[in-house]
Amino acid sequence: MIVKRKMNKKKLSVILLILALVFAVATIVLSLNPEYSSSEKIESQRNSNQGNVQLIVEENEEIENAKG
Amino acid sequence: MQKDNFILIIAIVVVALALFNLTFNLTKFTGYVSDTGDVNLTVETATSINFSNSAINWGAGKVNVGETNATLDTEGSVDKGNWTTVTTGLIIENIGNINVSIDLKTGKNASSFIGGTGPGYSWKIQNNETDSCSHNETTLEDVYNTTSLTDIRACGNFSHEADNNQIVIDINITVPSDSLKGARTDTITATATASA
Repeated sequence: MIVKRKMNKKKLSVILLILALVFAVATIVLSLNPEYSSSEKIESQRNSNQGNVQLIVEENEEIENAKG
Repeated sequence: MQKDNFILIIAIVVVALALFNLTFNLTKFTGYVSDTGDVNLTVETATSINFSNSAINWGAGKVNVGETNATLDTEGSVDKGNWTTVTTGLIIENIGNINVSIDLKTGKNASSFIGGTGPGYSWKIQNNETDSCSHNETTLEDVYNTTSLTDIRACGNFSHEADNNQIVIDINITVPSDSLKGARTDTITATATASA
């Protein structure tokens, strides 16, 4: 009787440890699955665009005359 | 006997911890652990900005005779010169569906753009529509500052909401009488980065 109870406890321990292993594997699989991964939610996106600044600087007549 | 009990207790504790960890992760990633039906869809974020006014052009002009420099800005002022006045700066619109931060840089500095003795090339940022930029995290807000050849933060949180999604970059330049002559052009690059 005592031997049988001892065996049952051992079996139960092994079953529980296997169950823990299954849960641990499931957790890792969930973490790696992009559908559940939080990294996708913080995806960085960038977009650039450009504008122009322009003017034409003419020679000042005073300077032109001085040159002339 | 005592050893078996100990192993059994350890096994129970390990299972409890594994179960807690799994439940915690499910809750963290999905937010749902209840046994209900879900309707799922994914709305993708689009980061997109556009210059609705992409060019500033003062046309041709010169520094008035006897003056050491002329000052031009995009708020309708041309001082000591005869360039055409410009009343609108570069307008950036957030046309995406997510708030973004905006960084700005120029292709040239005052010396390479204008040249001469004591040239000036500065900019400032203002809302073109109310509350478009909720916090600037920058010194560019409402005050002219020297332009930058490297990215500088112009707006920390640029709204994408309609009627609140436009900012304006005003430009102020100082043209010395001995500046570089001819067509002077520069390009301003705005980069939007999606806010988390």
